[in-house]
Amino acid sequence: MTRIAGISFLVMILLSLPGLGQAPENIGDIPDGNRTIPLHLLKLYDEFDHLIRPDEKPVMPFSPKQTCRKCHDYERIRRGWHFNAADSVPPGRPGEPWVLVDALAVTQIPLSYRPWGGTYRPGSVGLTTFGFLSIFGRHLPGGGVGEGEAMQDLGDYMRWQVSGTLVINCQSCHNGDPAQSQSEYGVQVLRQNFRWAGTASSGFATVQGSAVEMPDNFDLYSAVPPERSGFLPPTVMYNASRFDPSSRVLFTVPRRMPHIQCDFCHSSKVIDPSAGQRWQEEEDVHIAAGMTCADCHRNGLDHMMIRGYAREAGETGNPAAAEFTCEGCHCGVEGAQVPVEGRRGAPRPQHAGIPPVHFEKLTCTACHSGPWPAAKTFRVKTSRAHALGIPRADKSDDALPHIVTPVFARQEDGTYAPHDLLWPAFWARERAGELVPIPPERVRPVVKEVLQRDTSRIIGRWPVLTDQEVLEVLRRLTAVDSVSGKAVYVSGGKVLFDDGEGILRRREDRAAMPTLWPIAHDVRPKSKSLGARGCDDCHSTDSPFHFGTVAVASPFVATRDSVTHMTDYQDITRVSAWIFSMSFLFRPGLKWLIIVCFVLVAAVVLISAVRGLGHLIQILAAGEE
Amino acid sequence: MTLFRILAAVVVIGLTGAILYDLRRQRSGGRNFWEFISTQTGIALDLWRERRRLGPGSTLDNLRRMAYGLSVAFFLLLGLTGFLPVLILGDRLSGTLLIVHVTVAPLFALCLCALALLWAHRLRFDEEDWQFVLEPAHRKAPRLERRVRLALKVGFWLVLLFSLPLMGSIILSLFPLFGTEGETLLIRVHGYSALLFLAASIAEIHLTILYVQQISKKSSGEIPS
Repeated sequence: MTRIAGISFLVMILLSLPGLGQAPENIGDIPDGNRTIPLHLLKLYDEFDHLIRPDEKPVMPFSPKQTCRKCHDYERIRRGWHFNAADSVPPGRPGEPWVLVDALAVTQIPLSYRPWGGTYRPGSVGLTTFGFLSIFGRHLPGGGVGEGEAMQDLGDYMRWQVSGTLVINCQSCHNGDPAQSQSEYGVQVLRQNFRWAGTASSGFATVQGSAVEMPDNFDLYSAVPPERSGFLPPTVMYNASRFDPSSRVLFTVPRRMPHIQCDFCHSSKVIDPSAGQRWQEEEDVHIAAGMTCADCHRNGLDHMMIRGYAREAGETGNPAAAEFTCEGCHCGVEGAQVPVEGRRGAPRPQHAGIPPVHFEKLTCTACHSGPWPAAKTFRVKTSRAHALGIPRADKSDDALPHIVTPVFARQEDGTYAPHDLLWPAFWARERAGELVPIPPERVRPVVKEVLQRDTSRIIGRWPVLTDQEVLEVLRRLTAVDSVSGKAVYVSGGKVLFDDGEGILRRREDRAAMPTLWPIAHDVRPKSKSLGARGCDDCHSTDSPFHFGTVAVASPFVATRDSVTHMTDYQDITRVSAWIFSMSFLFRPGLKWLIIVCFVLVAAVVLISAVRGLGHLIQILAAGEE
Repeated sequence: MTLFRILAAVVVIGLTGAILYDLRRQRSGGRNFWEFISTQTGIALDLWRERRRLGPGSTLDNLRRMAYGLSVAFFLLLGLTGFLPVLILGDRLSGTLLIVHVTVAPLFALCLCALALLWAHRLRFDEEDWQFVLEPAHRKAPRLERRVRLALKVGFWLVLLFSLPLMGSIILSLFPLFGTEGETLLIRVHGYSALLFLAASIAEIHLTILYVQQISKKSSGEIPS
């Protein structure tokens, strides 16, 4: 007995030593090699790391950060690509910016915390991080500026206290429960229910009320109702049946997330009048083949998603990224020690008859991605720009912002790729040669005052402007604040300004240039790629690739239907493109001409050679005799 | 591409050097460069006047000369557009140069075909040529004109021979028969055969000029016939 007690005591001492007998930190980040997913039967913790019991009063929303970080290195994950826009990281290839739209202020301006060309920092249009989240957080997975205290504006301090921080909602990507609702997440964020958004989207809790309607002195824990009756404070009610006796909830966390999880934020709708109904559309060929987004856009614990473009490996210093480009999967990586092509059964393309120069001047996406180009670009709506998936989002085809696609433009590395394109439209002050945007809320009352028409009914569309109306707005804006610089209006690729003599002038300016970002989806199959029907798909005098027109989005009557040419975004002039394409008109005939000439020359050479051989034989025979 | 660029540069420099050496050898005797140019121009003008004096030749003769002249002109254009970007820029053929190249190429093929049909008989190897090659005794003290004429014939047939892979590689690449590796190989074959064609053509043109000069000197009595 004494021995047993002694051994027990010794075991207790050993177990109490750090590192022994306790679960190691980040246990979820250290796989043991077993290919199954550990059962995620988890206790929930709120933002203050208190355990949540559904029968508590008041019951708090659970914090995905506090709940998931018990096993996963949250600090490492939060530096991932989806969350690090405001961090000092290389921006990489330009991506889709956020677009601040204010129809009444006739504004659509691209914003990004990443220093992508053609975009503006949200702060430059008067958007604090809180304001940014209130508008765009609906399609953000949280983290980043949602919890970056260093970037919070002091004026928003009380609102942050009311709403809470928008931590990373791991469930946005990793919850395989069919009840997971990213749409509900977006709705909650739009209500500024930041600390409740993750809970509301989980599928086992309901959140009512709205933080945006709460006063600055709203107390999260107080049982006192808000002063304004009729406004419900944010409250959460858990589905008690989802909790086991230990207050644990089962989370469904599959290893391969289905593509629909990504689709909420990464969907697009091309407005093509000639296209059939939705059931007639084709999805991305990779999805149709059973792949998921994460099969190509992989990441490790650091959540640095592979974006999949050709230069990524060099720019990010991650050589593994080269394996997950189009070329990497389908053709392999040059110099790789181990063959990497054929991932997920990726077929090797033959590209029969295509001169190799195409693969130096074009990206794979130029021929294989996006909608089949037409004579004029299409409008496209995207999740992030048009709030697709959010209830009561504007479903009309001409909802702002106006983005057009596909635009075959030259990238920085000299290759051509299909792009989405946005024409910025905003009011600005000219200061030391720079254009500084004026926050739309300052322009809105001026525009409303100037426009004679009832602008209160505009839903997602901007009013039609005349030159006189713009002049009047510019004068009023300049009069309001002449110190900050002369007011100008950027729209349709031009800067409009008052020349001082009552005439509205237009000039070129870098700030007015359109913002472009490459697209890579949906990928079309081989039979629907450019060139599948022959060289004429691109090399004809009316091919959209060179001779398509790019619609210019503009609120002006006169320039409403104006267009630019595709060659304006390429390093070839329209004339030389036309001349080169013209040569293809005669190509079939010239091909046969060369064949005939070849046959004749070969015949002459062959006949002469045979004769010469015959003569040689005779000489040798005569020599013998 | 780098190896091809090096080889092309070597061939072009080598050819240029050989021709310059030959020209220098011809003008040895104290004549300076400008006197040499002046003399060559004089010979060309004399030939042209002689041709005019004799009156218009037969249609076939005119066709022959036209085919030869056009072939040389197109060849120079193709050679410049094809090799300039490679040698100078180290880049592929593209843009305006490519448009010129692909436009002139079929015309050149046509001229080459005419050249083959019109000159094959005249430049065939005859009995004297066979004897010159096969019997060492005939090689003793041959006339320059004789050697040049034989070299001319060899050059002509080499040009035709090298034109076959030159045209054949492009013909094959214009049809969807080969994948990317095959297309790359065909482009390479086209490049190297163009290089060989260039060498043979430059030599042929030089020998033609040399031969015409010999004929001219013989008719003017500078050298005994």
